[in-house]
Amino acid sequence: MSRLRTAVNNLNLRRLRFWLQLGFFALLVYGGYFAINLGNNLPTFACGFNQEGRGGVCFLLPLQHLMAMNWKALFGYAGIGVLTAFLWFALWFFVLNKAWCGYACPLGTIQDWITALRTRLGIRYARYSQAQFRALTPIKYVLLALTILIPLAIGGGLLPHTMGTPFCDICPGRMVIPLFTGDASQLTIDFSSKTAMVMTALGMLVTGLFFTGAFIKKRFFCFFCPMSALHYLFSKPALLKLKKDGDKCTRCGDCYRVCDMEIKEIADEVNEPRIMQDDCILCLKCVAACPEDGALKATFAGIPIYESTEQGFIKRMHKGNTSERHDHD
Amino acid sequence: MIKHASAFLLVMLTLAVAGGNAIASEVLWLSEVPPHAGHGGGEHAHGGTVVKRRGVYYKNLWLRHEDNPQQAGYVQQLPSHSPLLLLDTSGQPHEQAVQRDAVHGLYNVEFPMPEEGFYNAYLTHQRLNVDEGRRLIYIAKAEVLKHSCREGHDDVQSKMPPRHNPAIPLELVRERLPKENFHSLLSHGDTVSFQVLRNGEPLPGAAVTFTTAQGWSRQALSDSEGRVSYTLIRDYYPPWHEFEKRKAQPYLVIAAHTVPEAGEVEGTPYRQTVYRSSLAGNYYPSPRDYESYAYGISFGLFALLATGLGIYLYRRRRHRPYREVQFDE
Amino acid sequence: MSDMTTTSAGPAYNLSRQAREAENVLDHITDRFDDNPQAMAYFYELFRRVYCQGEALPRQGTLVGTTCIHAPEELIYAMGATPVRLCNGSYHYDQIGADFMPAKSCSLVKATLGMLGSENAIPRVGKLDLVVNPTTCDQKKKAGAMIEGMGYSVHDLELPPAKESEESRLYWQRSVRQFALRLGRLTGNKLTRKGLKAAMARTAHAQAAFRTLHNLRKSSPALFLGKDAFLVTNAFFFDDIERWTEAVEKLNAELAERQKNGFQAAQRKAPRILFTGSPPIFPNLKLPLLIEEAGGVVVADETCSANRMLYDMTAVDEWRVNDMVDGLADRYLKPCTCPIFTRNDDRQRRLLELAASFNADGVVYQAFSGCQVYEMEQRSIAEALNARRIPMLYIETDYSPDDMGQLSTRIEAFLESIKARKRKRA
Repeated sequence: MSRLRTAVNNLNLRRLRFWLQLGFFALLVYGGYFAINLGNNLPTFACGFNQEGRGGVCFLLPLQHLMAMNWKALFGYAGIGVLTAFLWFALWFFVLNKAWCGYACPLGTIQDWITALRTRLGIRYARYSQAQFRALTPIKYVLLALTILIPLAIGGGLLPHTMGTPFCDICPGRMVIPLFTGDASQLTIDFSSKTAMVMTALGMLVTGLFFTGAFIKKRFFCFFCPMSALHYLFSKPALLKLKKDGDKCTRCGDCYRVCDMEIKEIADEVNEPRIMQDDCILCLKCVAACPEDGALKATFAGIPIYESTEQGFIKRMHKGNTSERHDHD
Repeated sequence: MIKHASAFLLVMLTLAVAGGNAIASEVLWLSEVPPHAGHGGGEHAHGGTVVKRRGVYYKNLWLRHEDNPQQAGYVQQLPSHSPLLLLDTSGQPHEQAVQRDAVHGLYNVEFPMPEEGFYNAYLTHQRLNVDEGRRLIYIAKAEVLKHSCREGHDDVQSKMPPRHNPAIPLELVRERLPKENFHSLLSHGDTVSFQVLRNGEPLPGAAVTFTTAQGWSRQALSDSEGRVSYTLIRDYYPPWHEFEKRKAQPYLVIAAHTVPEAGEVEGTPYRQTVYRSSLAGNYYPSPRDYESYAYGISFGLFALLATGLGIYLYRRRRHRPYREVQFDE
Repeated sequence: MSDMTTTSAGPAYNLSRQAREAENVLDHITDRFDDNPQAMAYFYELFRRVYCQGEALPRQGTLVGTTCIHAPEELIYAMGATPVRLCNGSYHYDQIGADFMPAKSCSLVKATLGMLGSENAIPRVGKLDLVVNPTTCDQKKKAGAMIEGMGYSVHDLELPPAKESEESRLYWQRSVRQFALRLGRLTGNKLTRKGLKAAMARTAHAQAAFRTLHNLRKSSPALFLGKDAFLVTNAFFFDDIERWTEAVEKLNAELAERQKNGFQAAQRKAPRILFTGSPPIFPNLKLPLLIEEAGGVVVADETCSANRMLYDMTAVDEWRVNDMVDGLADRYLKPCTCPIFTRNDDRQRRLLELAASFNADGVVYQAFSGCQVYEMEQRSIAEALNARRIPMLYIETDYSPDDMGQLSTRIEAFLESIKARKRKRA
């Protein structure tokens, strides 16, 4: 058992994560071709617009549909349906917590691939200043509020039906993910109404921005993701957790250094063991980059499954020798 | 209401000519469009307008004559007719009484649709043309989809294939589009095919007329497999600000077949029998008419290049460090 | 630099006095203790050659002297240069250096100045092409200009006075980048991905060896003594990094063997001491030796001549020059527990963690007289330790051997009180 634990803690997380992400990508983007259907309430961007290949549907799509129901139904019998959908979403989410972002999300994976491309080209990445970071981090909550309130207003007859899925309209996932099954039909601007025209034009602008953003900023889109905001609201009781033992932390900042989401608390916070922040994607790169035994760990239902160890750190980070054979890139 | 008045006049007129026995127009068909705006207070669902009562969908169909799917009048006089024959989603036949509305006495029928899938409705009316020695048999058919997204989409494919009734002497069957599902809409530019069946067997050489709302009409003879195909023309030219991409444009297909069946009805002999079978449906504006790849991709590229260039220039320019603090003069 | 020699004493006298001091301590280390690990012979021999016989170290290429562990050695190696740590522990040079500094100032800084200002100084580090002086404490800051006055070329590596804020982090990253540029101008080499990565791997290898040694000290009873541990880390100051790493790995193997055989280098009940404060640098191993002669064992330390220099390891996300340099900068700033920074929470937490994981019975806090920052932190550290019921002995001293007798009495009393507490608890 302890040998297994050592083997797990010595894992080359980078490689493992690459394959897991690829697996999830295949499942969620191409699963439909193999009759896989994980339902409509997935807590990750399994884009519903990827009609044929999808192995499940991102919860934000049905959420917006449900919210756009007329109010009599929504606050009446159909409310049960909304609650059931929420329940399914929560159940899926509780298993993996925000690892849905770091491991499963196809759009996140695409961003990681773009990052890999940039690294190969030898272009340095950008980081936000702390001031920018603080200014950007509430945007996802605003987007989440709009994602729910706009359809709700439609259901109440306050807004036109053409705005039924306002977030999907501007989500780059709608444009980008169907491309992987050869479906370019989302790359259009819809001139059928003024609202549709504005929203689809916005969507295409965001898509353009997505590519440049993801190219120079790791996980560019995730800072703004309303799904991430929704996750955080439910993250307390989730089974998979990121924990920090502040006593063991030297605050060397190695974890912050490798954090794609630039979460400073991971390095600085030493009092609160529940270290997961709202921007966290639970990629566990911080655990892999921590040289202190047991300072950071991922637990599942209270059982540690992946823990920072000195041995694992040395194995991963420097391979302990000067040879160039072990080039990471 | 002028339309109805004229239809009513027409009915009266033909009745007079035909000896007060039956309607005199060339066709009888089932329409889902009610004669009065706001009639029935139905709500929109996949498969057209329905009324929901205690969670069950009810469909209301109206009997119309004349061959223009937009302007055809509603039937007010119909001395003899069969009851409505309804094939439910599993092919079980039901009989449904035809009713007349309280205001104008217009013929219509309402039936429940408890299950997901297609319902076939048939109404037969027989009339003798004494002068020409012909028996006319009108068969009005409607194919109605019942679908609620809340029922899920797991078992759509098995419910898609069209059904027919071998007991019907002349039947039109709309063939499905490739990959058609409950959400698919016919749109102009599509080629739609119908099969003409005589007592369930393909009938070659039948004259089939396809008519659109604007009065565009085309006649073709069914091929050796009883099949006829039409490419749907664009038939909807509103000003841009009035354009609706979900605008239903009705079409009406009529198949006619004359056979030398002689006999007599209530003592009156006839030399031949003419079957006239109808099937109505809707088609919609094509996304090609209002969606633009050119604009979409140029917007996306614009955003990509503008932000890319912006970042490039910013990175080139940013040589002076520590200029983030600026004082107001 | 020879023309800048300040003392009137001749070279022969220097060598002999310095050498006597070193020899004295070395004899002390080797002869007064039994059970010295065999693998320590390499280090004893190394110190004898370098400090007593005045043997010059074989060096190639550009030599970059560093006055503090804050100068990233990986950058120096990556540029094809060799770092030489100039911090000196000799009382002889302390006295010479007294000419530069006020009477009550840090022995370490004075000794470093004294050594740099002496002709034929020991250890024979060779001709320094550049001295990097991180702007840490006031005394080191001011020493920079004095070293420059001796004819050395000095680079002041600007270190922020606080380390928590993002601004200080960026400021330091920028300092480190500028240092890399300066090194580039000095050596004519370019910082390459390959070169830096190889240099980082070399240092990481040495750090890994150090960490293994460090962890072996958790063993109770102790497998070897703290004076040897200090000697090992002191050797890192001037030894060839790969040879040093190899020697440490040999020592680790021997200690692991000892662990397997249940070997005891100290008595089972010997008080386990955590050493903190001003750094013991050979030949000034006065306090560790006094502790271990009195029956204690130094099991861990929190000093910049040992643990702080080698413990914290660098993480890099993308193995690109930009990321590696920033990663290095972070590793040299963020985990540092040096008292020069505004706050000392990290040092407190580090000490508590070390005391807990090494099962330490008490803490000995050394402050060189004149080292204000260590003197000033004494109170808060004592309070933090007392809150966890860990006794602390605070000792203010310098390189002079005059106070040995008095210190010996205090240390014995401290160890006695620890033993009494342990007996009471048992």
